[in-house]
Amino acid sequence: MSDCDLPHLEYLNDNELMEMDTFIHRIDSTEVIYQPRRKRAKMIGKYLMGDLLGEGSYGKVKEMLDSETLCRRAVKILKKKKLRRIPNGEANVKKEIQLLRRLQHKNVIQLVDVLYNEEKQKMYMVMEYCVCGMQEMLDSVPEKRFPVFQAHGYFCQLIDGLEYLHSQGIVHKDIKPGNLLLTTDGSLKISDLGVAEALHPFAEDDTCRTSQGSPAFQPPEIANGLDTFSGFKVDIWSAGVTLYNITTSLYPFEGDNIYKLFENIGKGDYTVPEECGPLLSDLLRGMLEYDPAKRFSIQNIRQHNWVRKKHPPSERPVPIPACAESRDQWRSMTVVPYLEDLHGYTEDDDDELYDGEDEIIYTQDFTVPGQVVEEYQDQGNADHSPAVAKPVCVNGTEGGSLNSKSKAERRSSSSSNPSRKGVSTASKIRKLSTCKQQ
Amino acid sequence: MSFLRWVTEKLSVESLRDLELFGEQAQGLSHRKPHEESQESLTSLPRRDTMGSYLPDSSSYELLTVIGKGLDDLMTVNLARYKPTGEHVAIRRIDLESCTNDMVTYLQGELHVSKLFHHPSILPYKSIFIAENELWVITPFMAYGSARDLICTHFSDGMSELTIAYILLGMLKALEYIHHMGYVHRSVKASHVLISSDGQVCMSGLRSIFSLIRNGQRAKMVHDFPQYSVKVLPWLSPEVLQQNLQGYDFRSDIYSLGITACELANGHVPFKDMPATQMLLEKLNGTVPCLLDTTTIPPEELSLKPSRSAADSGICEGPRAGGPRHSNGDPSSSSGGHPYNRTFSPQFHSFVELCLQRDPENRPSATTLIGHPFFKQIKRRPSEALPELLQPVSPITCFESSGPQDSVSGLASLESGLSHLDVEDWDF
Repeated sequence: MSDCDLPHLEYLNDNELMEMDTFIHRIDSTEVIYQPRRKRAKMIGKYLMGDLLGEGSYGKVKEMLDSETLCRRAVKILKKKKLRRIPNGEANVKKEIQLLRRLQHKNVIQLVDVLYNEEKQKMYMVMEYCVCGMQEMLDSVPEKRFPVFQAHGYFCQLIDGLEYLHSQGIVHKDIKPGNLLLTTDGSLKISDLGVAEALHPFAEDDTCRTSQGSPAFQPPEIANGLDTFSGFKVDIWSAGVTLYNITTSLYPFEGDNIYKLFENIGKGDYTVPEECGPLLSDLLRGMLEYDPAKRFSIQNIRQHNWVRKKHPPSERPVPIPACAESRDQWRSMTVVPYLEDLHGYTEDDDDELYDGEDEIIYTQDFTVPGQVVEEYQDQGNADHSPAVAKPVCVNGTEGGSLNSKSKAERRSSSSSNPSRKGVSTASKIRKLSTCKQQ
Repeated sequence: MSFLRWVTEKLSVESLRDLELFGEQAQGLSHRKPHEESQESLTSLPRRDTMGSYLPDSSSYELLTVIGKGLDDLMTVNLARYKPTGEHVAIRRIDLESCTNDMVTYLQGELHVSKLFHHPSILPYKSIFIAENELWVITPFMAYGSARDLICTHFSDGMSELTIAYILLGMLKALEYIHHMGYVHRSVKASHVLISSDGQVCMSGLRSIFSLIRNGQRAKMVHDFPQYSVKVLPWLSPEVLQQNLQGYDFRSDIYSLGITACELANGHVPFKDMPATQMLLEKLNGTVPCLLDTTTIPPEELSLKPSRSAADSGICEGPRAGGPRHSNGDPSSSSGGHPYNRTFSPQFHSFVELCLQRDPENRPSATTLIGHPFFKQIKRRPSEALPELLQPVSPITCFESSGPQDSVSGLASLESGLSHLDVEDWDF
């Protein structure tokens, strides 16, 4: 309900606000209609907000639509209040933005835009859209791993992206499946540079002092608490753990708690499952080499025969799973209901609104003076079925199976009709009246 | 930072050179005497067409009027005279200094493709070179301008069905070739169809073309969302706009062709007067645009005065699959001059319906569409028929008849001819 506060006011100018006062009149409680929460259009700058994609420690990630280019985007919403509670929170975010701004590579997530809302103390990082995270894909199958050819494809892209980052003097420090995202065409994007470190332009080497990455992916030198270490080799190790994980579903080091885990990593004893075969085992051992100086470099990895080999697609690849919420196998835009709200297509109550298990909120319906509302006839009717086919299609054809479809078509016919304007103001007013109630 | 950008930009330009797209002009010799053969030029290959080869040397061209702009105003299109022969050509000049890296890569793709393509229905690039800081692309001058120009200047309520048939057939031939080569055009629209003085229909707008070939194999589906395509959005298919895992293929061009058919017939593109987001919603919800005539507009509306009516949006009331239509042969009695009080053939309607199906799988390929009964009405060659059909429009090169050396009056009439063009919309 909190997303139903101020922003809607933006749609109305002062004049309309004034007019509206005359429109809103008291309604008896019997006239109040139950309505599930409707998805209300919310614009941040030129971007229309869609559904939640995920939630991180810093805040939510939502889908967005660029209303000008119609390009799908993702937005990381950061709240200052939350950031303050996280150690280095604000500093990390600032750093991430600085870093991302100057990066451009097909395997590194692209920062598209940054917007601030001073009043709400919110920041919006607009990024290119990715359909799925690698961890989510792994979790979606019982084997919890990829077929070799698929893992190979992702690993090569990871190395490409990593090589670019390192060439730009950036140590990622948190490489893991959870931070590798996939676009609709299957490109891998290294994301979350929240704990990354940009080496000083004149730094002699890649010496780092701090690491805040995920424990299971940390190398021995960090587990052992060394003061300084090679940053690039940290990323190589983490990429090695990632490769180990996505090909075997296992982790090379485990532990009941972080102390036990670090103890095991610090000892450096691990085994590579036999099923990996000699080539992959050799690569993993090279990347999970205890001594950072002897550990593979990116060049070593590139020249490795497992990387150079062509792996035939022997098994079925793990597909990007259907969206957990909507069960949509294509992971289509989630902004559509918000678009419908934006353009006043949701005015007539829709049947599908009623069978959702959404929480029910109070909505006050209202009448515009001079307008006869047919709903009155339905009053008291429990299953309140609104006038679905009020304006009959002019050429008398049936609009198809989907209710919303026929409505859209009906609506479209009036798209250049001046009367449309009145309709949309009414919908704006309705929005506001709902908001006021809460 | 800026150094880095400079380097990468330089690299992109160098790699443009690697494509051998540029003549010696790029190397800095600015005032070479034009001579017959220029080995570095693209056009030095034995020409298969009548235009001959063009020197990659800016001094060989006399820039005349500006006839268009595009690419966020980075591009200027000039009419020019090619001095060695006196022929008229169109020159697109793009200021590379103001282009971002992305943009340069983008342009590179276009030039690459233009080199690969050779088809009578695709606008050929006669010469490509760098002059000063500008990228110059020499193309034949298409004297009727684009189909969109013709709509803007003379056929504001749409063209005749036969004219449209000629134009669409030309487009389909180009698309058949492009799809055969493994590409999706991705900006099929009336402003990307040019018509030459002799009625040749050529497709241009290769800038957002996209290859279906991935790692040496033809991908079933691609997912790239076209960049710099805000102006093309109304023509794009639902599946391109949807940007989901389903992806799209060459059949998205067929949808755009259907939209273009409506554009040519109705005089405006469907969805034109709504925000992009609403257009998106309409397409995703399955709204199907249609040809506006007596079969799609109720007689009550046609008897009204032509005004901003519902019909203006170019969207009919739902898919008419099987549904009862208003009878064809009974136009409303008050033929008071409503522009859409006309009846297109059932073949034309069915053609458009085929193209605009929501499910791309159901749309026929370009090759199949070329055999559609809609094109049965084509009896003559376009070079014979089109100029006649386009009357009273005359190609802007008619000034040439006013005398070979009479350049002053020739130019004057040319300029007045050009002033008819909607300069804004001449985006190639």
